[in-house]
Amino acid sequence: MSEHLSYVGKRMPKPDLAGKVTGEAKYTEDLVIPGMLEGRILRSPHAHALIKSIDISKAKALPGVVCVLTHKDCPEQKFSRSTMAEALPEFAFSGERQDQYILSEKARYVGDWIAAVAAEDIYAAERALELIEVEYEVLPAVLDPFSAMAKDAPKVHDDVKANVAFEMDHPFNTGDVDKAFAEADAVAEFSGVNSRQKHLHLETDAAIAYFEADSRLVIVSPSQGPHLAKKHLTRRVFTDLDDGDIRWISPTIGGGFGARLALGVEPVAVLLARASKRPVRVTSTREEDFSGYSSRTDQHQTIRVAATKDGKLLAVEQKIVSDAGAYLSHSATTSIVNMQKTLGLLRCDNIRGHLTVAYTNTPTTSGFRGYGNPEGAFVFQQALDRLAEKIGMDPMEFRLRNLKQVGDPSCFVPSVLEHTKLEECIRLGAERFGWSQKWTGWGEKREGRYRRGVGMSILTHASGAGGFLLEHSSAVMKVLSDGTLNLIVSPCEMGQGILGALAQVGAESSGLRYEQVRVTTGDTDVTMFDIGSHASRSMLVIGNAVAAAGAKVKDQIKALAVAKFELRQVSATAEQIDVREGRVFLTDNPKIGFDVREIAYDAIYNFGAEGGQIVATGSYLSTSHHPNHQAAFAEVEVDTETGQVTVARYVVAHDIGRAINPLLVEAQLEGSAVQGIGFALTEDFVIDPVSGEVLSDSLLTYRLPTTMDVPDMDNLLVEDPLPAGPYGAKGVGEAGLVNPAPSIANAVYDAVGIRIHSLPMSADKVLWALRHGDQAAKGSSRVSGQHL
Amino acid sequence: MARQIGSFKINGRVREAIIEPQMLLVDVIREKIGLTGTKRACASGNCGACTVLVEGLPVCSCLTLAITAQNKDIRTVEGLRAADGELHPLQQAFIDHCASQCGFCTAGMLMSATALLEANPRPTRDDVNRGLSGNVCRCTGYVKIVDAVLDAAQKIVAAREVTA
Amino acid sequence: MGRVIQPFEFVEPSTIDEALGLAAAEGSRLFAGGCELVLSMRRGEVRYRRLVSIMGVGGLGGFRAHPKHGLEFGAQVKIRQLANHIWVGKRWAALHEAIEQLHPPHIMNMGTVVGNLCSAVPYYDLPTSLYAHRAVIRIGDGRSDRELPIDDFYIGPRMTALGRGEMVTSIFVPPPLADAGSAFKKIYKARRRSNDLHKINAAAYVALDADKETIVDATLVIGSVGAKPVRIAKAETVLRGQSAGHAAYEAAAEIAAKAVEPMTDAAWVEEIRSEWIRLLARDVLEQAASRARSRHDPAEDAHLAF
Repeated sequence: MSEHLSYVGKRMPKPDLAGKVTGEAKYTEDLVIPGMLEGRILRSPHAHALIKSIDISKAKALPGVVCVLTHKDCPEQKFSRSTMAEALPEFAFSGERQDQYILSEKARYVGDWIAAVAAEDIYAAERALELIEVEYEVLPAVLDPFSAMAKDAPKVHDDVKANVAFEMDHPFNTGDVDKAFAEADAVAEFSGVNSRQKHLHLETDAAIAYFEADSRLVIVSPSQGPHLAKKHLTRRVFTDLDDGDIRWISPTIGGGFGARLALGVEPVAVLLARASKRPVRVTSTREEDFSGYSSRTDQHQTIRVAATKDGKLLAVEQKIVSDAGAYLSHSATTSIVNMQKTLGLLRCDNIRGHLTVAYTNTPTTSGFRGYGNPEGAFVFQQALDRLAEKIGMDPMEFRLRNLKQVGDPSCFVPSVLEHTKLEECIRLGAERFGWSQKWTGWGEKREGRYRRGVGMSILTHASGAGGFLLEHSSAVMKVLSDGTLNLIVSPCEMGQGILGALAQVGAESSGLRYEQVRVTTGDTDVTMFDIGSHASRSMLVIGNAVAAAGAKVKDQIKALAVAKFELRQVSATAEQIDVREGRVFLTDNPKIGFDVREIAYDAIYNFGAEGGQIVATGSYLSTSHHPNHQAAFAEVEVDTETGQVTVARYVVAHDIGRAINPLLVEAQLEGSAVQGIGFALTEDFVIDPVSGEVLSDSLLTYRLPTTMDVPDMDNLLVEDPLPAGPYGAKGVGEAGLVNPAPSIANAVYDAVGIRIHSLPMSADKVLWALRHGDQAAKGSSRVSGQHL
Repeated sequence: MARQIGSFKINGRVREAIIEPQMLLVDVIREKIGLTGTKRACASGNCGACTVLVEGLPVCSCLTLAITAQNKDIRTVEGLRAADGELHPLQQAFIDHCASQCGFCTAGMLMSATALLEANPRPTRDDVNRGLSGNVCRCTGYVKIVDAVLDAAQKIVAAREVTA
Repeated sequence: MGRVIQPFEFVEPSTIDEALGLAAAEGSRLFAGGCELVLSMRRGEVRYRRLVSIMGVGGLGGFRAHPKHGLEFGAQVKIRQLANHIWVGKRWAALHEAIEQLHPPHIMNMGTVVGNLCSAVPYYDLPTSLYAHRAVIRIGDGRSDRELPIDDFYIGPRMTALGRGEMVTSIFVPPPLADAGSAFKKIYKARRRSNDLHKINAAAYVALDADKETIVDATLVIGSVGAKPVRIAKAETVLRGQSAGHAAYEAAAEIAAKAVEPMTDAAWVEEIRSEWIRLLARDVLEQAASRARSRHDPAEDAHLAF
């Protein structure tokens, strides 16, 4: 029987957009709670300093100021801004060190939170910050992970030896790596470091905390995972509260990209609200977001690879030194994931990985879309190209010879790869790009000021982290009397389009109309437990939960329809009835049927009859990470006089399983590709090497891609349904950010014969490397954010 | 002290609010007048999220003192819809093309695009890229935004021809 | 570093005298479009008790652009007015290019050219282009006017030659010679040290003889490399009398690269910076000369302008 699909696979409009184009959508800062105070945070001007004393008397005396708090007013337990501790297995949990207080007892980076104020208006709150007198004793600071781990380096945390926050061997090390390197025909190595890309969600960090009836705490903030955040906050910070004591509301979110997976100013808002017994809104500025909020973790890596002369990959070894910044947050787990994705991408019998994460007196680094994968790919895909060059093989051919096949061990956790279309992605992308014409062999010298080159990169990414994270989710469906489907699901609306895709799955599986799906989300009192929107997991995990609920709704409708048909003198069993697009009909005679509204109405307004509203829940537990895959091809033009790199063409083919909504999938791929191009070329998070101050603290100095930086792009979908996916779908949210940097880097090498060892590949570094050669550019500065 | 009643002509209606000289237009529009569609994102004139039209031209409301915008013709995203509630062709095109993701840049994008199409009803792709170069979007990669503006431009021109 | 600006007083006088009187008080400052001022006040870099708007003062809104008589505009003239004017694009191309590349374009609708100049922000583009055009700053104190070449206008980082009780009333940009052209270019870069700036800009003006072969006059300016734009006088002298070709531009650019003081102690940062200065200098000279050589002199169409 051929599958009939009413909505899945169609380019339906995203339901949240009506509110976004009219300005009606409400974000955290758009909400006003009567009597709300304005909260602001005082931040440290020093990278490393003891706080000798804090005098808050003048600030407190200022008219309009309601309370002024310091570390003395904070809970005594330490916590982590990352909420992931609650969802991780034992082996990774030690990477979630609980290492900070809400307001710090010692300044550990420029921007560290020292005190907080709540006042009747923002002017008084900010004036009060100026009146807080802090006496600092400035200490020597460590600004990069290597000097942090050096002998006798100043300690960021007194209880941490040599500033080593976390260290581990890759848990799935295997084979005899040394032997493989010794016996290989060719060995190649590449070292590099990514920059601290900023999430740059346009909505700056904010939170509202207030008490509703019965003194129950309500938190409103742009959290990507409010259920987990709530658990974390009650378990680690406000331990006098428990899961049921907080209601957490995530309204529309102005961009997340992983940043909202860590706690922002929420704990401060709660602290101030509890102290003042008033609703408090804590806001921050863009400058404060730059210095005080998280960024991608800069991971210094060396990757060695070995192969036989006919292109069989024999061994991969990866060493990572990551810079946690002042507090650990996601920087260890994001580095672990880097190892998993890098060492697990290709077929290889001998793998070894080692990770060290160090504290420094710089802003906390964290997880960012791709979560370790872009960081690793930038280095690994260049190492692979170097190896392909050594054995004189087309880099695409080299990758094709080492792809994992179904049945091979998978990359993420000890499991078996059940589905991959990576080879198809490579072939489809190569054809569209014209790889066989454009790739002209290794070592070809090009002439002239502007030189073109091509490069490629491949990846595997997860669709959720089953087996590694707590991957279960549920969905609830209610059918209203007019046939409206009220779909209650957990993912927060931060633009990713998941609510639209889930609405399509909901309408498809239940047989109701897409136009009549109303999605409710973002309130922990209403939605089911879920670990949040990340790891490209929502489509697979929540999608399956929705499909399960939808099937139950459809069954209930069918059961109720039997009686309705009887009233019309039609005899049919539930099995002979189908529901599609809001219409109930006979399978073998679709003309006979009626609107589902009749059933929906009677199910509720059924005086005297039995039953009740059509309601169903669906749950899903994912035990695998169901990898999605992608191949990308880039063509660049390098201006050899200025060092400027321009991406002329970028082609991506993505192994999506099935696109529930191709429009939304394209939107994810385009958006993440442009973020990746920014990561590759312009986005430079620079920390002053002396003061530790963030120099790129505005969009003037931290350069995001604009309309003028978008290349000619093609996003191709390889559709072959994943048996475990809802209607065959896999994840797509993060993958697009992984390939741009390595494929562009490989293309730059093809164009001008140099490799850049640090991101971004900004014009200054490219020009310097062009003048001094590749080798000289190798790691002469190891300061985080400072390159070459 | 310097508190005064400010008078603003927003979306064709006169709105009054108690303002002080230091207040930024974006804050007055959002917090005093209650039109929260306009967003504050960088507050430095670098991202365009707070774009409103003053006398038909895009300005950064985050760098404008509200006191200086009194009695000028101000338009915000809330004023784009027709009186009968029908969406502006740009708004509809943004929905059709999925030209907005998180939506935080959308109001600013729409206002810059409105000014662009009012000045040049038949722009090329390059014109749109240039016209929106001051508006940052972190989510979409811009492709669908530019598609949407070009589509809306065509529809506006076509509708005008029908009426004519 | 605030989310908002702390309270201040805002006054809108109607005469220059009144404005200057109000602005002379401690903690007071003149205010026009306000882009830079609002930003730096919000960031907490400066604080004023009183802002004195000049936007209601009579006599400061004049604007005239004539290919033979020059470009002249008052302190209230928004950048947009220059951007929209065809003769600015034709005869003062460096200024026009600097305006066209303003980011975001919104600034054109908000800021005044005079305000942009008076902010004396080291990385701004319009001052560099106006150096190339040898603009003259007209300064008034309410009673009399004095004129100052733009070269003498900046005396330090964010400091101008304006005395207490003085303001810029208008700017005069002389008309270029008949066979002259100008150009502006910039390159963005990352800040690598705290005293580093995030871009470099350059502008040039080149006038040729009647045969359009020999350089008779030139201005070369490099901006965003220190407290104020730097005129490369030595290069200008060398260019005069030279044949207008690559060799001349390369030689001048070499001088420019050496003339600009280093900003940091990081050798590689400096090396790239001086390389970019060299490239920008060469390219703006070449572009300016190319425009000068373009056969059609738009000034011949001057009668069409009015």
